[in-house]
Amino acid sequence: MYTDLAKFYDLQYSWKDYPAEVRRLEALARRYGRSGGSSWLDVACGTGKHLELLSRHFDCAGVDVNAEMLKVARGRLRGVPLTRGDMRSFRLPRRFAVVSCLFSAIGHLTTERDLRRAFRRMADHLLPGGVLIVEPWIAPEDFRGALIHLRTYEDPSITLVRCAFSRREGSRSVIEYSYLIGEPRKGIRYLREVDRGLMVPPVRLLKLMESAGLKPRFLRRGFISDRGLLIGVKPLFGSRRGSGSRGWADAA
Amino acid sequence: MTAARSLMFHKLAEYYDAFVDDKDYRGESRRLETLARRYCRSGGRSWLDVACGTGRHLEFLRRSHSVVGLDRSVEMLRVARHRLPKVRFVKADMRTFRLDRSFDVVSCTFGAVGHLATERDLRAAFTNFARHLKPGGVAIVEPWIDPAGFRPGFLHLMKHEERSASLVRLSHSSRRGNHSVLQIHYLIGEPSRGIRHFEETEFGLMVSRRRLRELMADAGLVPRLLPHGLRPGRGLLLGTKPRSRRSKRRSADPSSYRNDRRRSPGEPFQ
Repeated sequence: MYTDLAKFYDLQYSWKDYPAEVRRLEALARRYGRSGGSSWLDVACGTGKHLELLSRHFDCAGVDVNAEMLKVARGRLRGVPLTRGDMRSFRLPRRFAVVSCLFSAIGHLTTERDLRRAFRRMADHLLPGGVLIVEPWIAPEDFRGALIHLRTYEDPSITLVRCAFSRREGSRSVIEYSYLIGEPRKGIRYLREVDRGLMVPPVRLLKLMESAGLKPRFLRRGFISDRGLLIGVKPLFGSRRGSGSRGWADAA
Repeated sequence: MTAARSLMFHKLAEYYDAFVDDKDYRGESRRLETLARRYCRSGGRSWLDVACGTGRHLEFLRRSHSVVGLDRSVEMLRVARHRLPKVRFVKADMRTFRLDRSFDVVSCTFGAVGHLATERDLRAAFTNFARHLKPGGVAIVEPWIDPAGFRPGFLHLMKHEERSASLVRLSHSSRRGNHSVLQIHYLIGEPSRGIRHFEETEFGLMVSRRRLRELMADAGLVPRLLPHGLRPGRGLLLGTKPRSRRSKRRSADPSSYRNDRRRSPGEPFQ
């Protein structure tokens, strides 16, 4: 996904208030974190818009599965190690005070097994007392199917159109995106992609987070309405229930 | 401007009105009427709208005139007939149509003449307009872009959103000789059908304003260019048909039509 669109990704989401989100993220990290560290790993970091701001106060790193997105992020971020990796299987040689996975990136996972693996990977990269912040995908009861959503962006160098058609297949959301990318010198290109995502009720997400060895909490007020935020705190001592070494083995 | 069968005027005709929903047909019609009052000397109130499309101008013009609409798209005329059930509509090509009567005003707006592929086609159309004018009548033509004012690399986005559909038309302009080339993409999103994508290329014949005057004069009409037309930067081309006997000879009534004229069938752009 996003392979051809990485360059334009930030224009698409120019409405997103990254500074406000980062202020909130930092406040949450301060409030729930007990590790005493100041390192931050952003999983599914995309073009690095959050990391750009987080790296002012934290020692940051990023992981993303998409090489094109990382290319954009590398152009934006200096001195932030970025690793290409899948959130279900990535392994970095260090742990962090905070791990985040934002903008409903976990919604790209399509099975509960994948979700379980991803939570475990993230939990395993936390220092004791560290905090995981996940912005979940929409809950099944909040999803309104068969909708068309149109968004456009125009400046002198580019015109972008994104038309999304969202519908439901059982507990999966299916969003078909049609893009038009118009540039004065290049003309217009049409791209299409389909995103499938698993919709999981918050209660279930909390359970999955718990089985990854974290103490979970759901905050109804998130960044986007109907999404909320999941917080998982890794215990300072012992109690490595379902996590730790088993997690490493699981990924192998 | 036209590919074999323009998507917009055929397959997508049902969406046409939504695409142009910000066009001020009422204001344009008022301006057309004012011009007709000012320049028409034939004394009657009959009006032929060539390339009438879905009949949006006629909807207003019919209040003060007895109107006939003409278009070459069946699909557009279907919408027009639905809108104006009492108005007579004719499916025909502007270069070759033959009606059994003449009019006080013949109009052809929204750059429709740009759909013609060659100057020969334009000449045929103007001659045909003239043929269907009463002596003293006036032709009002809103030309396609002037080659001098053409902007290559121009992106034009039109969008329309309502409950039942989201519509997008994005066009990109380039130039090939005297033709403008518009690459046009459409997205039509409907909750009931998902998103459909269409693409087409439209060629438009760009003719200088001076040349347009000449062509109008050749058709036997007294040409006049108005810099301020219906839309900014487009202008209007008027042609009045002389009432004198001398120039009547040139095109006068439909019966004088010479049957040896080729009917310009399938040209590459038409």
